Amino acid sequence: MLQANRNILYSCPFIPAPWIEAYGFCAERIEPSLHYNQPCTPRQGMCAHARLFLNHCCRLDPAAVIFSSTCDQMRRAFDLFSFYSKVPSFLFNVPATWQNLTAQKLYRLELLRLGRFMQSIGGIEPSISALAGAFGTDNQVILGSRTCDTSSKLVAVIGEHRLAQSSDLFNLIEQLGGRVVLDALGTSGCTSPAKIEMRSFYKDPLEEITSAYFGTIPSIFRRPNIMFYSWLRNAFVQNRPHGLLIQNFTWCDIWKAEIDVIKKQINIPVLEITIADTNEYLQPSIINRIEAFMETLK
Amino acid sequence: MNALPARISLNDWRQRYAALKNSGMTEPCYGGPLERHFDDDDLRLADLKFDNSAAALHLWNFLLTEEDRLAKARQSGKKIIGTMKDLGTVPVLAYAIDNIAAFYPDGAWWIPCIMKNSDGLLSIADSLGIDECFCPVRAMLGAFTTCAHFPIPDSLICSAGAVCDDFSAIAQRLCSLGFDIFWWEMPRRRSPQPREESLSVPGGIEVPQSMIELLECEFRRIATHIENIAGRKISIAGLEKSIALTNYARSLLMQLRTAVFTAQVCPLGALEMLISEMLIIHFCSDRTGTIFVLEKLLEEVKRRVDAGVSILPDGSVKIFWVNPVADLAAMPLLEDLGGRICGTDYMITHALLPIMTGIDPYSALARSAAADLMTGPTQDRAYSICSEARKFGSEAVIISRIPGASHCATETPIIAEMVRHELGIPVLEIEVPTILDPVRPSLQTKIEALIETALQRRAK
Ligand code: SF4
Ligand code: SF4
Repeated sequence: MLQANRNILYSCPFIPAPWIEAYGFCAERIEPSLHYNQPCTPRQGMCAHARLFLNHCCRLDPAAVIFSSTCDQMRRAFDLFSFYSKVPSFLFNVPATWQNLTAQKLYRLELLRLGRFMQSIGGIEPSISALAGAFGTDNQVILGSRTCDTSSKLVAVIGEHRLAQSSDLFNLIEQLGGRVVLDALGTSGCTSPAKIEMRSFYKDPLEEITSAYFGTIPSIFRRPNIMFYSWLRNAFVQNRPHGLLIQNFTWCDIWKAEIDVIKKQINIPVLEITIADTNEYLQPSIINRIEAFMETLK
Repeated sequence: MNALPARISLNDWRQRYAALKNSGMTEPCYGGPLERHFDDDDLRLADLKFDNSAAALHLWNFLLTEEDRLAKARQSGKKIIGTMKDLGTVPVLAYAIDNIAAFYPDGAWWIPCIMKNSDGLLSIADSLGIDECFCPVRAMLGAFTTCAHFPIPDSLICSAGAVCDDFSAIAQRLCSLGFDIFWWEMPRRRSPQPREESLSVPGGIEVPQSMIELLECEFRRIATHIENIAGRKISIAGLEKSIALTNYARSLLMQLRTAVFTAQVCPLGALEMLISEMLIIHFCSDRTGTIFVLEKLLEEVKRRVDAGVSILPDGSVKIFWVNPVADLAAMPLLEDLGGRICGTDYMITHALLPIMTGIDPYSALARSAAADLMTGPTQDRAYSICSEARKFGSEAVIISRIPGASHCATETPIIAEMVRHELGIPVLEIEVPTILDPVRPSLQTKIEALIETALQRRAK
């Protein structure tokens, strides 16, 4: 029986939206809103994004929620969600390692398991042509650079997640005379899969999906995370930003540990802003820091 | 010379050591008076209370001389492998070759506590941007940077995947500091789906067969890596022997836990029990030495149980303790306040269980790793805590949150709720920092309240 509400919520770029769509659901990638922040979930020590994602999902009435194991915080957010909520949920085990066959095999097995999960909540296993139809439409999400004035203050913005309020950040940068030449916040840039090659897809769809997503997305959580740094270097060569703004969340160890490394790898001013557990995205202190940062850019 | 069992200070140990020596106590090569470790800057020792037995003396001396052992191993031409994060399984593979010594650099976790921050490791971590948002394992980064607390291993082997963010992020930082890491995948454990082939792992949990097969491949990959470092092959017979010896050590620890946690009165303190559990994960770089220490402790405990003697006042409240404490001083504090440890989950429960035998040894290692409760749903861990607490008759549970740890915020409410629901006993959540002195009054009040509640329940 197909669930009345056919939305499946997720946030991880390694979950292929077309895979969900092919099973007859609507894949809704959540950009959580700070307005849904609630004090009910644990605060101290819980990453602000994981908490916002949980709170956001609790406000909706989806057919299911898909979590992924790309960090401990989200892995355990799934435990909380499945413990307290009756909404069907699924934890996609995205391997952290990638240079070995085990990891690739695990990713493939997880795709199949996700398929079975969707069938268990009313999804229909797609034929190969239906699958091809879903993946054949462009699966790449590239926002690229944003059009703006001719300012010379070129800014790159990177971070793991985009929030519903993230446009405030871009607007602020533009108001301060900047131009965002690299927008790699959550849904774009370093989290985009490769384009699906339909010829290879028809030979072995799982292999092609694995290669396009698991084999390509250079997330910072991967071990080792060298793909992320080569993506970053290339992106900088192409876009030549004057400054880098990193949006992080409180208690996110994965990004926090890399801030110093990123600073050393690139030779331009870097500003890290940390989104905390509040209902306000750009708090006055953050705005002040962004203003000062923009001043320093030539 | 068997004096009445007691908890004594480091200072008292001077006299006690002399008395034991006079009575003819023989010691292993790492023996000696305890205070020399204090002189070597293990300053926290002066604030602890120790068991007064010769067996406990061996335990402490063994623990606090690991660095010397590793240095000797290197001098003798052995290769040193830093196994990281999986806590218990990879060393079994490494010890299948006799020219390898394996240890967990993760153990740096406790250096700031033991040295009362005189080591400066946390400040070094701070300077690298790894601040108190991370758990005390950040001291490991400082230890690698200073090369002062253990020999830098010839190779590092680290599990990734279903691990905490703190460790994963810090290990990745080690890479950027130039330390090569051999990463292996630890998949997140899940329950088998209907009609999915499954296997059981130590502890009785059922896991999908596909997960064990993947892990088996990973252990074979790790074995090849270790063989390359050692320049020797790991034979199946060598691995089976390593598993057998490990199982013997684990069985000693299990007997010790059962004897201590089920005794009418408390025969051995929480601190010595905690250290004994920690030995089992990599044998403090000497498996034979670990076996000797555990045998001596077990003999002592059996003697005390038979004699019905205790180190604590009668009627101490039986506490189940969840998570290791960043400051060892928390354990004597609990005992001073009328508690007694009867049951633990220090996040290494899988390393206490026997590795399966009579099956392919790589599959056995895979199943052992898959039994790690930290890699699966919190509900599994909470369920295990409930069943162990029930088994040992615990009267209350303390969940000791680890500062900065990525898992505590989310798992604590689930564990607390399941314990309350399943067992109906009081649960206390506390956070123990690396040095607890500044929060001692509030910790004390909370623990006192818990003990009082448990005593009231007992009286009903
Ligand atoms: S912000 Fe960091 S810790 Fe939080 S969910 Fe994202 S990757 Fe995980
Ligand atoms: S204490 Fe917790 S967060 Fe820290 S290294 Fe151990 S498992 Fe990871």
